[in-house]
Amino acid sequence: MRRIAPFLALMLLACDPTPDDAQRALSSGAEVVQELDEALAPLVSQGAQRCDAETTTREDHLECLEPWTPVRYGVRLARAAAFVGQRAVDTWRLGAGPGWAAFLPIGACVVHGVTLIVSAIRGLGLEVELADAVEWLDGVGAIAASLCDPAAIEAAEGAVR
Amino acid sequence: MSTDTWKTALDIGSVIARVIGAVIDLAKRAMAGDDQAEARLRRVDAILTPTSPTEEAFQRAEDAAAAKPPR
Repeated sequence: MRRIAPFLALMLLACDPTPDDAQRALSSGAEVVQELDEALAPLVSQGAQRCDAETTTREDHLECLEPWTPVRYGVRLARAAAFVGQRAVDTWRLGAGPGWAAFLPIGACVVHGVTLIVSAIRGLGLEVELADAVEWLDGVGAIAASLCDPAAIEAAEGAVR
Repeated sequence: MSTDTWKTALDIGSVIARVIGAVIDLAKRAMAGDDQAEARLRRVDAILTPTSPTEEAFQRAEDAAAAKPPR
């Protein structure tokens, strides 16, 4: 997230992207989130079944589930941000609202949500295919770069180092 | 707030009002027995409240925990 922060900041200040640019970025992120969500659900169910079998009280059961909490929050954040991001793009297309300035922080939340999910999956050692998610996270910087002046990006990166 | 900001806020408010008006209209037609309106209303509901398989799994797990006695 820290790596792409200057790109995002610069995009807000220096770029003039269209709703189509935002839609492309959002759709790719929403697809990654959906895939992770679907891959994680059966693993969460398995983990929950183990907790159910290994515990006899409510508190112990909830404690057993606790290591999974970052997965839940990551999925919630990424999904909610993708949903709101879509409404922001729709509003933008209608010619209303602040457009890119509204979309940008929401898009950053999708990125942050995916980062959380990936980190949680690694933390739990789950067998989930992460190549697409990691590639997408890496690609966010590249998408930003394609929208902006490379020299300006370099200057911004230098400024935050 | 500047005039532009107010105008933007009013634009957004106008869009939201139109959307709410359309949903109320759909609901009225659905209650009057219009199947097409009901199908559209269900679609709107699905869009507004998307389900997450992971979240559902967590909710089932929490329900199972809630059914157990306290420590």
